[in-house]
Amino acid sequence: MPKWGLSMKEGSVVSWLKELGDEIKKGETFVEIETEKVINEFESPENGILIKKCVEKDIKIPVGTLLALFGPKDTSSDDINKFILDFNSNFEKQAASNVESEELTKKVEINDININYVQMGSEENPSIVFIHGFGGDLNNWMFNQEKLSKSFNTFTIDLPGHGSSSKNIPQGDISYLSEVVSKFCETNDLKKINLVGHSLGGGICLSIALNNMELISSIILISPIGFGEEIDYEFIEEFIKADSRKELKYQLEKLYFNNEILTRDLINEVLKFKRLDGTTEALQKIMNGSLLLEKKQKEFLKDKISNLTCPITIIWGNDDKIIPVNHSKSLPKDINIKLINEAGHMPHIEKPNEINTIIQDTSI
Amino acid sequence: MSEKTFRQALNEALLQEMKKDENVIVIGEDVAGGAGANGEQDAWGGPMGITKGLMPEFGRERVIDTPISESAIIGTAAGAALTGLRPVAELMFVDFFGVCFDQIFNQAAKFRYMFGGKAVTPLTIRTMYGGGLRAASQHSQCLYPIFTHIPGLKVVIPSNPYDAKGLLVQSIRDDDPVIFFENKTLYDDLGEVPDDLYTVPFGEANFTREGKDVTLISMGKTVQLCNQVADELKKEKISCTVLDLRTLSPLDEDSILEAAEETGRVVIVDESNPRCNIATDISALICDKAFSSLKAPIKMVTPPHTPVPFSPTLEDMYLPNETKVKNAIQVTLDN
Repeated sequence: MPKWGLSMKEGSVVSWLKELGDEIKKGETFVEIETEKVINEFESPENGILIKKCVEKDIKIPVGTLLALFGPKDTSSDDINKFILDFNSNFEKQAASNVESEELTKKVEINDININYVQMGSEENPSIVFIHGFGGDLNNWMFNQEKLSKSFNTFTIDLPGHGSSSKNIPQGDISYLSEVVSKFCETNDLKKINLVGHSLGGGICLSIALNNMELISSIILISPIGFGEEIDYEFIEEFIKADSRKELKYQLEKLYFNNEILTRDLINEVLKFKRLDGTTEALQKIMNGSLLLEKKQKEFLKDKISNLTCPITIIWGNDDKIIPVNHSKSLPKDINIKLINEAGHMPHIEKPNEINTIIQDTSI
Repeated sequence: MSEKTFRQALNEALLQEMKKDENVIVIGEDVAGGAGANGEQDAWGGPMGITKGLMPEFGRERVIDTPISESAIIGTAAGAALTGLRPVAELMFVDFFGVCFDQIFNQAAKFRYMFGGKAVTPLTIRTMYGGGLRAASQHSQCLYPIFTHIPGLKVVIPSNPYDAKGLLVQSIRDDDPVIFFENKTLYDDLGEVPDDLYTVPFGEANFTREGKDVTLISMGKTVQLCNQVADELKKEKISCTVLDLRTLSPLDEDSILEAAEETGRVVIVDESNPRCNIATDISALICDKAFSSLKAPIKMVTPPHTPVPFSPTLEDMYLPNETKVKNAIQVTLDN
């Protein structure tokens, strides 16, 4: 059972997508898993033949529990059972040593506000800083951070006004937000930084890179702002106004190609965030400061990218309903453009394996 | 965000809201402890420690220990609310409401209406309810139906630490008298509670499980019970919707009807005695407005029409439990 995000403690199998004896390729989805927060398909980490399904459907099991076995087609059931027994006896001991999510979450004070963040990975490795978009938080990277922390020193942060970072922010414009994130990188002594930014976070990445070129190794922008006028302004305005589960669900569904991924708990998490004191004011400041001017995008960053010296990759979901995918067209040839099928505005959540591969291959 | 107990969540709500708004005061028996004596101050922080630490922070002008007189406590608080403060009064056990009910239902509940909107009564009354601790008939009752019956009162009943803090903050900020029901067995329950101040709106029930076979409607402690039953029945391929009412007045009628229409089979689990309780009220609502969706009669799981027993064996037989809920579900499925 994989661990998706810090707070995931257990999950359950919704349905098996493959049968015993099927050959499964690395990256192919073979089982659908439900956690408190999401329902998503689990992509196989290896090639192999499915020889045993180890758990029943609809039963909640802890992260790390044996889910399925791949092996040679003719493996005897004795060998299978022995393996399971061995695994489970060791698993009990391991479960006790799992690091609690609270220990990984840290806070740092930057310019009189608190920034909440998670660091995963060895300090000896090159660093990646992930910056979420408007209304999101560091959990948006739940399918990406742990995977990439094996080879990189990864940081996910809650932007000012978001997640568990301070809500009483003085301003909401891009220069303020980038300044805070830059100082965050400075505080952690990061020198060769790979920046990954989504939507508003993409605009922030660009702004940081333009002002600190010597520190940035590469930039990956996922459906960023600043590459055209069009944006679903109604989504932004109504997202801020929404105060009930129904209203919020209606808006959040616009973010995804397949909105079955949106569970009741995921919607509740966003609702809880919006009900924190000061959140509405913070979001309004950022909407007016960074995102919208008279129903169109406020910032235009496209013509500044030619000033950058580091490699730039832009990722876009083909079915993005918030910022149109055609904003990725007509860009200078040396920019790497990756379009993702069957993905909306959140490809890092809907197609994490593809995104992780791009980040792994591009980051230096 | 971190894991906190129900008790800590309530304490945080009071501490943070009192810091934010100097008009909020706390008044009740031993809400601090030690008043007028030379011994330890803030010895109690309430019988269950909910208000501990408030008196050292805000002083005895804002955290007031009272004599054992509920009519004085509630009367004082109602008057203070009328004249500009936002009191959080403690009615230690809801079983004691008899000695102060006039202040609540005839005075506080009526002021805004009878003064033509010229008065507001931003009073919050925190009170303990519920059985299971062998506290016997006079300290275990669930009298929320009586308060729900009174126009002019709001009735709030959180089931978990997150809702406890948000609903208490909302209750203090609300300009009407709010009766805040705390189940005495939930204080040590853990849950994720944000460190910041936040609110949970009134009149919004929460779906804790979603299913297509049966709807379980619950409030306070019975929410946990229904969640447990729902999770167990999932293994037997029966999927249940569980609705946590959160506030009894105002009531989230839309969610109740939506939940009933979704499955057509309803079981309401209410720890208060069966005559004129919340279960009967909701049952009537569903029959009135969602009759055509029903596939079976609405079942109610409640204690019998008796006082709460002192004997542990009898008290366990008295309270709603998994078996009773599962049996009720089975009846709706057999229909």
